[in-house]
Amino acid sequence: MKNKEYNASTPYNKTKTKNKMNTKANYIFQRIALSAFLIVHVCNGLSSISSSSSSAASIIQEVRAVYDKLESRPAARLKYSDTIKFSFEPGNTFHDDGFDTYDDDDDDDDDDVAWRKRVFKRVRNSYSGTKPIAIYFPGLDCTGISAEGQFHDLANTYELWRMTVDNCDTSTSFTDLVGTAVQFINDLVEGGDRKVTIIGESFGGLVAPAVTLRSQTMVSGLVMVNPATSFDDTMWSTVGPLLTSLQYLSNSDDESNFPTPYSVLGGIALSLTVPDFNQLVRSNFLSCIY
Amino acid sequence: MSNFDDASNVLRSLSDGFGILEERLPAETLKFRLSQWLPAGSQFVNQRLDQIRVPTLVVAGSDDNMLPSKSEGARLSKNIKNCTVKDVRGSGHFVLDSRVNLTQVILESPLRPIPKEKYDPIVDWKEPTEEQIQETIENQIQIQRDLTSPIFFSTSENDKIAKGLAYVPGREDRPLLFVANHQFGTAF
Repeated sequence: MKNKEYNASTPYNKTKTKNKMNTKANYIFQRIALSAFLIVHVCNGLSSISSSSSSAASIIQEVRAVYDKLESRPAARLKYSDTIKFSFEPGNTFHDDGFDTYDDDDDDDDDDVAWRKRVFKRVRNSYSGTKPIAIYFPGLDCTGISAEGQFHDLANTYELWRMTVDNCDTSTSFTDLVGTAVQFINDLVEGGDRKVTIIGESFGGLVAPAVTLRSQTMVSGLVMVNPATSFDDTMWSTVGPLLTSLQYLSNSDDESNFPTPYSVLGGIALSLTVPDFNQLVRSNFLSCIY
Repeated sequence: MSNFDDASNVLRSLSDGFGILEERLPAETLKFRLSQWLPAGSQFVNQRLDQIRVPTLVVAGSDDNMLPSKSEGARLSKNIKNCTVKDVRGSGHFVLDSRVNLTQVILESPLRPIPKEKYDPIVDWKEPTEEQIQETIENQIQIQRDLTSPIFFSTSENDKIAKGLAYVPGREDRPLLFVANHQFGTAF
């Protein structure tokens, strides 16, 4: 498989000679390693990443930094279930006047409602209430990392909220997920005439139309970015379950640093399908074949 | 750097990097989402595409190797009433990288959420540049000039008509009566 991948992805195989065998092996490793990380970082257009410094290690560091940024205390965050949260992304005009996140486990419903209203009001006040609303629904990882680079500009045009789902969630149904989002929009709009633009990427491109279908009177626009609406017709409905079954191959008491079969094959699957040629070139990884 | 160092660096990165997938999307979670969310969601949505009434924009990477986004864009635009497709050439599944500004794409689409502000002829007026002035003169004014500018003819004593005022008698002891016609139909 590795050979095949090598041949398929480099136009230079004909000119390769034996003394470049080492480089070949490196190339394959590099491609697998780098591509897996590319899925989460090159795409973000992080200005800090210059093509010359893109070693695998520094890329990983930067990816982790983006995740940390996404998870760090936002201007406002509302918890709608144990795992589903909506974060407000501040734009340039935002002035932090001591917003507080709502992450505690207060079960008092009345307080929930009052708190949410207060947060919505303060969010609106933070930019004088003149923007339309947009809500971003992330891909299957439910973090929003693939669109992180877009949030700043979006937040300057819109009052931007984004949904996240904790990665431990293995019980919320699709219907409940959509229902929660509809509830959030209801609370946000609160019977007013503010219109909402729904943005969904990949798996979020499936949540977005579902949410739109259930709240059409409040939605003024629907944006689907590479939506997963074709999922049933793709290989992923077959490959996906096979891939996840690899978890049973890992030895739970294995303390070694070796990556698990799931993470490696999953990473390879992603690396082969996610980055486009331009992203690979920009990561500078092609240069490592020379 | 030696090959050995290279290789050990790569291996360390491999372990660390692949850890990100495990960390962010554990197999158990991915399994649940693949088996519970995607099939249910795609069934719910695909049966109701024709019921979506809001203006829709599909952003599709033409080189998406994970999902058939390009053909999916065409399918969605066929099934959703008010749907615009923005094909991003050369982009893959992670289409929202620095080559695309989603905000700009939305603002340039029919979804534009903010109506264009009404033009105020006084406050919003800007002095045209020299180039704009020249261009306007050439393209618009010159034609009108050619059509409407007066041309003078004069007739000689032998009834010869010539362009210009050369045949107008130049006697200074008599007044000159100048007869001008309407702009159009000046032939008479």
